Amino acid sequence: MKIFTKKRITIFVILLFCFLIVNSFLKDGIKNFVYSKSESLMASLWNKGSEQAFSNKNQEELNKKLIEENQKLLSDLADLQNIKEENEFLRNSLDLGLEKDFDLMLGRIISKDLLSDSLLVNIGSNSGVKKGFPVIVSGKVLLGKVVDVYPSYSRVMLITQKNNLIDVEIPDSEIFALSKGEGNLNLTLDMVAREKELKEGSLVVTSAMGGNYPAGLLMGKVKNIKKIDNETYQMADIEKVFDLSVINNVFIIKIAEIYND
Amino acid sequence: MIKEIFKTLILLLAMYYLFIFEVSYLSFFTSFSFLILFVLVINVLEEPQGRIGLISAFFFGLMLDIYSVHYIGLMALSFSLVSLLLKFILFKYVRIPSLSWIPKI
Repeated sequence: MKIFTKKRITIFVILLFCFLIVNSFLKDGIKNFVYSKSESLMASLWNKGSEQAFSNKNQEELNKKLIEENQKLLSDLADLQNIKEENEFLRNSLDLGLEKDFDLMLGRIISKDLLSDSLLVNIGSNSGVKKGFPVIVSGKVLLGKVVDVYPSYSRVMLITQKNNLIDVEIPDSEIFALSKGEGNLNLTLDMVAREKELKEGSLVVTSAMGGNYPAGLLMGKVKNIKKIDNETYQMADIEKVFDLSVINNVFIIKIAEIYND
Repeated sequence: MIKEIFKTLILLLAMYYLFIFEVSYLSFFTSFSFLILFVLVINVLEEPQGRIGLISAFFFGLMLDIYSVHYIGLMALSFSLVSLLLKFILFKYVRIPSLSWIPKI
């Protein structure tokens, strides 16, 4: 049997050509069309999955409330630590007042990508979403950023996406580092100077240094600190504070400038 | 011929709904894709001359492309090629007598 027949190779070449055309001109339109046809079904399945995932734990309401409350408290704590350290004059002059800068858009999660840590959200360029906008959930917990925008939908890359690097800081100890996505909803803390004292349970928040995210968005807590001999930097895992099974809605932050997209 | 087209359309429709189910509902419970297994099984059990395995691999790849950040066609073509190679390898080099009792698709 001949697998690579002339006919099959011709079809393959034609398909390749079609895909080039489609990706150059029609990609966003096609994706938006397909999403719009399956949105209601996917949204209801997402909600049902979310409910089911929680009922399996037998504490649906209680857990949901506790997690939300915990996120809020942790973010309040991070805010307080920030405020304690930062000089008021600097805050005003650098324009770091987060509350007044946040212009939020509410979106609903429709689905999760099978191959990567990304979500599909039901608002897009028609609502003013642009590539690079940060995405948070209640309690200023950072979820990720917008990587693809279609007319009515956006794709959000989670902070845990493999090799996704974000400038972070640990507010109470003036440690600046990088958070690195490991895929499968895992996150590590990297490039922490060896001489700095890293504590288990310290909060990790975004730093203004990277330019992609507003400063002070909560990312997680430090755990499993790894200090290896002869290594210039120490590492740790970050215990993320969001739980996808309780999140149905997200906030997309409108920011004025995206520096390193 | 019409029967074959009808059978393929039914299969693609079922795959579409299964895919939607996987990316929304099942994503809370597992990251494993049952559709990949399904496509693999079709390709293994199908006659080497059959087209359903190839079409299902292409369609599954296309769905993955649409519902991800990838370019449309990247996974579709990759899966099609893998399907062709799989059939080639199975036909040329693999003999599994114990599979002969399984009805061919």
